[in-house]
Amino acid sequence: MPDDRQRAEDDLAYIRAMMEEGRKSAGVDGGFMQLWGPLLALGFLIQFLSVAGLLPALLGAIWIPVFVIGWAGSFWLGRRRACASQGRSGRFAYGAAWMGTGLAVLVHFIPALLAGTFDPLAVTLLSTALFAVSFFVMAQVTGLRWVYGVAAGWAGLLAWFTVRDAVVPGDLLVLAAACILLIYLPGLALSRIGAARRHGAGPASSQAAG
Amino acid sequence: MADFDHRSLDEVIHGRVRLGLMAYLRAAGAADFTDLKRRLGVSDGNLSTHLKKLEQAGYVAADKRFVGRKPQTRVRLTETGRAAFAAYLETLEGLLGSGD
Repeated sequence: MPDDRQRAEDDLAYIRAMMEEGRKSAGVDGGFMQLWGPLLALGFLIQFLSVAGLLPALLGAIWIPVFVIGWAGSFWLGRRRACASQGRSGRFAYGAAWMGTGLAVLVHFIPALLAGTFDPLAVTLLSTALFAVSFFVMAQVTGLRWVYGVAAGWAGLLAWFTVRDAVVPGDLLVLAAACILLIYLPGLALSRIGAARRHGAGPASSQAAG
Repeated sequence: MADFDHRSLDEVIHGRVRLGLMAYLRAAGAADFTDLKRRLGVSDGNLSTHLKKLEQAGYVAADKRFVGRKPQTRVRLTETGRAAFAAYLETLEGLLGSGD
């Protein structure tokens, strides 16, 4: 029955198109990045001022509040958005990648701080690698090609720090800028795309965003 | 060449709007009523009718809530719906494959 067969093929193509739309709609939310980007940038800036002798040299006093505020804010955002993202597998997938990133950095940072073995280069390599991976996962899940560029930015920083012997004070400013350019601004863009997809969003706007 | 028999497909899903609904929800997990209406290009009444049929089969669940003062209906795919859609896809692909 050629007609039935043709219809089945059309149905399959339609299913794929709708699933692609659903997949894109599922994975767009930059709220956490809008929180963490400026927070981390502020941490690096204060650390730079501390290293430059303009503020007391207390590593824990800078970063522990950053992590506490960041995780508390993330928890609050997570609760607020739990209802809206219920069952959204895409958002769950990259949310898990980011949560893993946050936990890994924390698990590295806290024991190193307590044991007095903290190595700025090691935490920088770990963080840039995990950020690159998380953005790569995000790009895959959301289907937004420009997010690969953000992942490449973090991968570039990873490569740059890999060939260095140590983190110098100026690098802290580079990292602060990276947190704004490669975390906060993508977060802002993702939130806008997410809002557009939810509130006016048809396939055309999704394609434009991709 | 085997016969292509569309009657072996799940009748609850087999229909343009319901198929689109199930496919979209399968990937998105959940969606607002207005979002679904826009994606599928159907009227309120038309979407409600199709959703009701899927709800009766246990394939989707609708949660009503208020966002500010506006009522909002959020539709999600159930586990039964997920399994039914997977079976539908498998059957459809099997039917197409059987004709090769």
